[in-house]
Amino acid sequence: MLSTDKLSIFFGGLKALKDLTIEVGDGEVVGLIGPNGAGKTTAFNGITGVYKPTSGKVTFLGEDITGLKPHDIAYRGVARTFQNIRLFKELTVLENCLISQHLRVKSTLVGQTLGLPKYRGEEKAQYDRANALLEELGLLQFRDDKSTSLPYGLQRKLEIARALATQPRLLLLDEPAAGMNPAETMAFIGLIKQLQQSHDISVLMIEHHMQLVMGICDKLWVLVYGEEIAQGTPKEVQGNQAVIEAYLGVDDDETPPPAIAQMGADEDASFHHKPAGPATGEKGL
Amino acid sequence: MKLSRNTLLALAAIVVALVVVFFARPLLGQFWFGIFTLAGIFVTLALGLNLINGFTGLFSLGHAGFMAVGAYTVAICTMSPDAKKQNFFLEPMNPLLAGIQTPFWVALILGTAVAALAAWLVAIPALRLRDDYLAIATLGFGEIIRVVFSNTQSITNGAQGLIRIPTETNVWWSWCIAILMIVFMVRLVGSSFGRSLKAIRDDEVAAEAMGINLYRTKITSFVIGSAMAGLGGGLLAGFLGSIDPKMFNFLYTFNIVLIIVLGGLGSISGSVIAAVVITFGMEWLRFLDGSVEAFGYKISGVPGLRMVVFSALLLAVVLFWREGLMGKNELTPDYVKRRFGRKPKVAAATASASTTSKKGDADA
Repeated sequence: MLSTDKLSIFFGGLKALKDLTIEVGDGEVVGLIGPNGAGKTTAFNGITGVYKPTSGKVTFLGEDITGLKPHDIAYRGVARTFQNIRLFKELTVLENCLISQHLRVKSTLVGQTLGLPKYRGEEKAQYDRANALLEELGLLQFRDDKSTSLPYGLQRKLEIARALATQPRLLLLDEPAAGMNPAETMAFIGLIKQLQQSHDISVLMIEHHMQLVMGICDKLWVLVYGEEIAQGTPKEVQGNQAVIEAYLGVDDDETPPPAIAQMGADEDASFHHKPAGPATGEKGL
Repeated sequence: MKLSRNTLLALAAIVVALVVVFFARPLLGQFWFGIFTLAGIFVTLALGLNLINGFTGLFSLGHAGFMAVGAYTVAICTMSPDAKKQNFFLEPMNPLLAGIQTPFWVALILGTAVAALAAWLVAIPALRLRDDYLAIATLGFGEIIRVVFSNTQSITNGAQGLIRIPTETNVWWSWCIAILMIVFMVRLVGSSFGRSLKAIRDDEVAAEAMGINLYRTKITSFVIGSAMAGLGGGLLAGFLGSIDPKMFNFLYTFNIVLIIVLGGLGSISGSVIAAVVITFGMEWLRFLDGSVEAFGYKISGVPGLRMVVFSALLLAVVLFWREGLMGKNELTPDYVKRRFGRKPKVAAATASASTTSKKGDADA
């Protein structure tokens, strides 16, 4: 469905992302992991058109979408959420889900202003879809509240609902479980699986919760300093020596640290170790 | 059910507004009646700028320039060839324009269209900018339009301006167009397109990621808002009967910015109320410009002192009351109920009825 071919994004001399080649198949859930500043969000921005790739190619559904504008890419069926929540703050929960359906509206501006039958039909479909999505994600009772009045976890869910309202084929999730506790994370795994089935989409996610990544992803790509160091099924990646080194650091005198699988149980330990090195330019949107 | 109730209330408000317009002359007296007509024009102007600034979040300061485009188009189209000959004594008017004379409504449509065209030309380069840069660019373009008008002697009569423009704008023109624009804005802002404007205002990056074509949507909004400026400017030319380029300097834009900030950026009813209040206030406070006797001291007249009041008011609003009069809310029965607490059913009904008529007054 989505594939990148040697996608590179440089900011001046800084190589935020080097030769990333990933492949997301139909109905797959793919994870993109790596320490802070590894270039994961930069990769997302390169795929969705926020940054123009320095070199390389992005192909979606057999079409070259490299360098297209974000709205064109969204129209072709790639939706995303943001690492730092970016809801439409002044608008209600419902309106947030209506807006992301605007890209499918066929009525002209005149038709919309006059409220012609064609537009009325479209608007009704917008409301129906938004309500259905909000119900699916358990947000229906908040539909008339201001989006920013929701608690943090629900704001993340609303971002997903809003992204799904664009009727995507591929959903990009940027740290969707950030700030969730283990119980919430487990529930979240179920939710992603359910959404993937019910909306017939593929998912590419950036995530730090190992528990979640291991529990849900069909394939993983591991980035460090903008470069891919490993890829494969979660099992394969878990045992990969380079990955373990990148995450936990390596100490010459000691035996290799425990495998990643155990890190799931001890979340906090996993990412506080940050290998010293040049700071990357990744800001995250 | 709910929709039909709101539609009925809206229709009732329009009827009330028209009744107020009908009885305005005996109610207000000749002088204030004129100001009342002017207020209608300001409603149109304020709504146009609010669409750009309040709903789309584009900080544009070029409104006066587009008003000038509309005003000059209407003036040139409606003036009789005779009046044109009288005006253009320094340099004869361009023969292509000297002969034309159209009815007022044709001139208004043309004025709106020409202003929209000018806005489109300005928007193509300017809307690549954001925030303060956009404000400076549009301010500059507005001034450029004015300077061009002062120097195209054979078309606009340059700095002399134009006099003897047929004063076709009466209270019906000004208020029927204002009401039409209110209805248009309500429809536009409530549509899917209107929601996409608000999305851009709230978060450009997210809006783009949700498939909204930023550049095109911004240009559309800017062109519509500026076309309304042209329409208002055309009405103004027909109201005043004489225009000159200096009139449309950037201070005029700030008058309208003042209205939309006081009324609430992103509120249609706020703009309407503020437009009426400020147009009347500007005239009412005129006594400040003359000499004032207070506490035994005689202060000799300072022209422009009344503007200080508005500056102070604007400062106060920006410092303490950011949202303006209405915030982003509209004066609907639901809003009134929410705002003024829960009341027994009967009281609420009368309250909403009285607000409707109040809205009518404000509209009117």
